[in-house]
Amino acid sequence: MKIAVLSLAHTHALEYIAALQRHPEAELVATDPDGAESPAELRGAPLALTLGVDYLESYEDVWAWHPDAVVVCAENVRHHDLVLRAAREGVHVLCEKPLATTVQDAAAIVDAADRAGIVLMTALPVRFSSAYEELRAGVRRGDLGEIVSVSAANCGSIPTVRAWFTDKVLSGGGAVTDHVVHVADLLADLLQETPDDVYAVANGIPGNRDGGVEIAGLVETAGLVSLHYPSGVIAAVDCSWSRPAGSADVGDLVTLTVIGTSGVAEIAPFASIIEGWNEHGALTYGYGLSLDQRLIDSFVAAVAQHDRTAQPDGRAGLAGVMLIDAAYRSIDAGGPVRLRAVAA
Amino acid sequence: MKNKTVGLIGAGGIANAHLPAWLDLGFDVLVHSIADDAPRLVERHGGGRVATTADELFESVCIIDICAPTQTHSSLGFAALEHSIPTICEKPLARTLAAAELLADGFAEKGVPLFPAHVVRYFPEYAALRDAVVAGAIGEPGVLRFTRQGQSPKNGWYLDSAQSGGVLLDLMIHDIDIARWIAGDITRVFARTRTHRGSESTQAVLTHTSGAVSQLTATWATAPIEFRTQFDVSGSRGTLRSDSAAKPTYTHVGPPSAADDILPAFDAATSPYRAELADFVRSIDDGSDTRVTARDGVEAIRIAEAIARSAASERAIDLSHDHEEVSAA
Repeated sequence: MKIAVLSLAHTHALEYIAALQRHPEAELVATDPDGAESPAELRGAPLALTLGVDYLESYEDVWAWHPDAVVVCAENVRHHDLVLRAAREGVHVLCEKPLATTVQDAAAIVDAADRAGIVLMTALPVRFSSAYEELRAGVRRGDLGEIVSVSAANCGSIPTVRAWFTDKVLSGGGAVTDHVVHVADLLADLLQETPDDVYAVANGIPGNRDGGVEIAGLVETAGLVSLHYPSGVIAAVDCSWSRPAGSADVGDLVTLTVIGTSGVAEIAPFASIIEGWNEHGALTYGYGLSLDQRLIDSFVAAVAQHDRTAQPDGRAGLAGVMLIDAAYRSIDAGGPVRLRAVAA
Repeated sequence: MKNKTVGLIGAGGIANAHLPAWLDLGFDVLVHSIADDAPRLVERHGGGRVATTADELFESVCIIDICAPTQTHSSLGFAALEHSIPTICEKPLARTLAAAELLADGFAEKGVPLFPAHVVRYFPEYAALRDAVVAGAIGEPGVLRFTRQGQSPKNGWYLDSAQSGGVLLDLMIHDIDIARWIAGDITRVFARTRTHRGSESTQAVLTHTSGAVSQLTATWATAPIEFRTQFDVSGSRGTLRSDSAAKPTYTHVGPPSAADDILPAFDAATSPYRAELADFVRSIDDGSDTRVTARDGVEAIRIAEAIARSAASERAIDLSHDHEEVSAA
């Protein structure tokens, strides 16, 4: 099986390459032609060399290599063109989230994948967390009774390792774009429904050492989102990049609290860490199975079996983009908005 | 203060926190309740005396402490004002904004101290948060998250939202006050409420004048949960947080003790109830402000009412003008 990683713009590419390297059946190459735009960052062939992965100079070289599948890790705004090209080439796709920066682009991606008959998965690895799987099983069994409300957080630091994350032209937005989709995807899968009403607020205060609410030309770093689902369930989500640079990993990257009529469940899929100290400060090490590994394993299996039902799929990615779109419309409007229906 | 007798009105849940704190502060306490629970309260705490009529209190005490159900706060407050007695009133100050404003104005005009018992400002972790933020530890507050959850109340009046104001006025009002205390006045609110088979969740998003945003979550759960409070406050330079369930200084396994499921756990050495009552006594003596003022109590209700209106109308409520406007968005 020939798999190509398209772009090393998103640092998750590094995790995916490591995970793919554990698959001896996968012949792996990477390309990162746009890395030249960011000379200050370790990108392109030099990064591929450190990762021990074969490197091709251009996307055209990749298509000429005839991959079976690609993993798209480009800047968010570039997902659309790469996935559409892959669909034309009949190549299966795992696309980093968010699937696209506009609902139109995301819908076009899903449509192109359907027409081409390729596997399209969206990189929402928290779905593979054992804690989440246990929660879902408990909810399905009725352990919590009926779900009343959910509160969730996905808070991290401003991703400074790559400049494009905070460049709206390339990323489409900041914390809301980057972080709301994981939690929203879990809720969509857990509740088996998508929200119908969205309210969101944002500011640029976290990480803004100069003070003030706005970071000129940059993106939001704080975001709060309030969701209503057709069943009546309500959800509150904090998707802020509110952790200061250099924060120790305390295992709270994603948390979800589900209030049911007969039980309350809480998950923290990244809480598997050991903690300690040395003379330089806090020490934290994650342990257990990497969610990125489970995502890659599922993608490789889906490609091998040409299984177009593998989750989370393109529609899960589209649902996330629709929510991001609604959140930004709400922020602009200063009030709640309805989720836009998309002809699928 | 020469006369050291307090008139405690109401002998329900919160009176169990106030009575021992008054006794600890060296006060004699006269307890009056229109229910028949005053003798039990006095017996349980080994102090205080039962007063059979409210007039007995108004004639002899130096402080009135209103721990009766929410819808009685206003009339009891005005009765205390008639006798010019400094009054501490359990939160919310009144069931409605209009009643709270009347009460606060009445006390202010007569120069009688009125103290809304927003006790969370006296919980040491929240006081430490405030001190750290004021000291600049996290820079400018940017995004704040407050959570408060407990079991659904079993008492009749709590469950009648016309009387109690529901989980919003019982639990969330605390975090409304704390969010204002930490990040300043509020210009806009949006909220959702879900009431389902005895459980009630309210989730509110507040926008502060500074541009900071707060998310408040308050839940009455029918599920058998422990009372729990959490905050997570991030600013331009850092994060501060606390979770009552994360680092308990005391834990035990065994049969639950009676009537301790409606109050959060606290350290007896730093009892927030004792600190709250002591602050009021101090302010009566020296004339300075309490940590939380009657105006703060009124503002908390103003915001709570906007939250209730937002949840009912599914619209954002603008509080930035003198006359509120409903966002047309």
